[in-house]
Amino acid sequence: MKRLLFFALLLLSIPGWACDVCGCSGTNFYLGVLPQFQKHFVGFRYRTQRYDTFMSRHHIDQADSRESFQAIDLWVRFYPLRRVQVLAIAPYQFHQQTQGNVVRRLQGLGDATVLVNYKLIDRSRIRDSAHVVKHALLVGGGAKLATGAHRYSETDLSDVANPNFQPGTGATDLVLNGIYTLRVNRWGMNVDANARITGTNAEGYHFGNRVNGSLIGFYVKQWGATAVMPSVGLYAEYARKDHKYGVLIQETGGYLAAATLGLDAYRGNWVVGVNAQLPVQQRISDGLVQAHSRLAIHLSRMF
Amino acid sequence: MNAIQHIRQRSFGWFLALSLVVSLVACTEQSDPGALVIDPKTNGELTLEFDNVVGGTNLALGKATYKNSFGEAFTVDAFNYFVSNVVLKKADGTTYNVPNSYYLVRESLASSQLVKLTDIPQGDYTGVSFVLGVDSTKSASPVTERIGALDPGTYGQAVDMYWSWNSGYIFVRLEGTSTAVPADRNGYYELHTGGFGGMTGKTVNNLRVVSLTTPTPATVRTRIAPTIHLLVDAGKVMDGSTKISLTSLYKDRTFNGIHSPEAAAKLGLPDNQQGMFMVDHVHNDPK
Repeated sequence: MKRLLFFALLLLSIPGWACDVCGCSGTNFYLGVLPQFQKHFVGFRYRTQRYDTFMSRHHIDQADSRESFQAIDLWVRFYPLRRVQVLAIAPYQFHQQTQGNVVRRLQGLGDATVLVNYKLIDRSRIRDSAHVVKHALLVGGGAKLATGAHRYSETDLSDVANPNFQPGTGATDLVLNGIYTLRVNRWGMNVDANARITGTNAEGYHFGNRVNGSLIGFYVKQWGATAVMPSVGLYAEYARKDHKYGVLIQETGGYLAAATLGLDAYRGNWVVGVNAQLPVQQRISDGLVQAHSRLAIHLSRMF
Repeated sequence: MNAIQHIRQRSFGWFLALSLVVSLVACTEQSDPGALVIDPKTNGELTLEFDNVVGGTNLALGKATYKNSFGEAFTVDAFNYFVSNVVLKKADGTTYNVPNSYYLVRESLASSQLVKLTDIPQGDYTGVSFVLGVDSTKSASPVTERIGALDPGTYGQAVDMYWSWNSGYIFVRLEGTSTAVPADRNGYYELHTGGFGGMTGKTVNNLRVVSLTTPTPATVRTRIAPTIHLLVDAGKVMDGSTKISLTSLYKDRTFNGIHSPEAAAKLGLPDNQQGMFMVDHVHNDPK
């Protein structure tokens, strides 16, 4: 099934020419720091990821294709009960693959995720007049739904015949996650871990199970109703290899570790923020896929 | 709840958590055993991928400049070759001859670099061999039997890979520009190798058999269609067991490139080209 493609001008003469390694599944789930954890919010987030794909280790001087995954997420957080948090994210995906002069685009609703977290620890106390210590631990889970389209044709050359390139995975996944936040005065830290136990889609394709996590430190500077929160930290993700009809696909899965930088600004009930992930170590799809820096911008309204 | 029950419940929780972690990250990843069962009744597919390179880099026609062992700069403007008589070798030593296997690989035509072999008995293949060129029997057969990749007609696929009735097919065609070739020859070098033995008059036989083993087996199954990824180093044409200098080759002002079986043999091109091939890796990808 693996196909080699770099003479894009000749594409039209190639039947059923596909590529198995392009990029990662676009449905990566990452929250970042979400402080003000008592409040409901509704917001939009724009995020972008770019990858270079090499069809062979001997092509490392020139990428055979470049993929760009952009998404606009509608995300909502609310507390139906004091200790129960519901998080929902619905992405709209914009995917693009460039191979020589040929550009293929795909857009559509992605896979929505719904999580229900329970606040196991939720304490804030004033130790003395000088120190404010707050910490919270949320654990929970939910599902990544198959709301995104997952169809492609191996023979239609305007399609990117790759399961990774589709807006959705076509399968429902179980999601488990935990978030711990500690804040001492103006300083804080956030640890989160997220695991996805993946399902198999109708085409017999099974994306590998995956985990990601981050450790982020932040600082809050406040002036009346306005506050800014710079943050810095580490992010890592790891994915098992995919299978199709039980057959392992070697050039899938992998890991990425990144440094993260973020800046959030609060004014009244509004939050605007930017977050970047700068890869420091990676091996994606057996080293055939190279991830570039990722960027996310969000605007949210709290209630 | 007594203490033992409590411990049991806690252990069960830990067990759950631990098995989750194990299922996520531990152990080698492999295909399900069911997908690896050989079904002798149905045949499968195997693809030979001819990935042309120069040294360690991907071959870029006309664009990149390479250097041979004499430090002479050259480009590759055409790189074509015939592969025929493919034989697949199983781990148990038995072989399968792919019937009627004649392929013309061109760097300029991406689809020609993927040779899909169909109707292959299922099994674990650890070796592949083929003739670099077109065998003598086929070369000498009536032209009406030489179709597809072997069609030497004006509109045939092999039009630029054929000399004449007697000399036959050009097995390997490498050409491009080089500063080592004088301007009166347009700074263009041509190294064409052919020669199956001759139809009417005897020519030298420049056919070579390339035999390769794979680092891991190619497992042809109902649901697995492996690809054997070959690297074909065009740089070896000049830098094989014989090192060729374009400067000394083109020193004689009447010399206009290698265009005959005898000249190719004299220069050592057939043996150099026999050494162009290596197996980089095998993909045992699902169909």
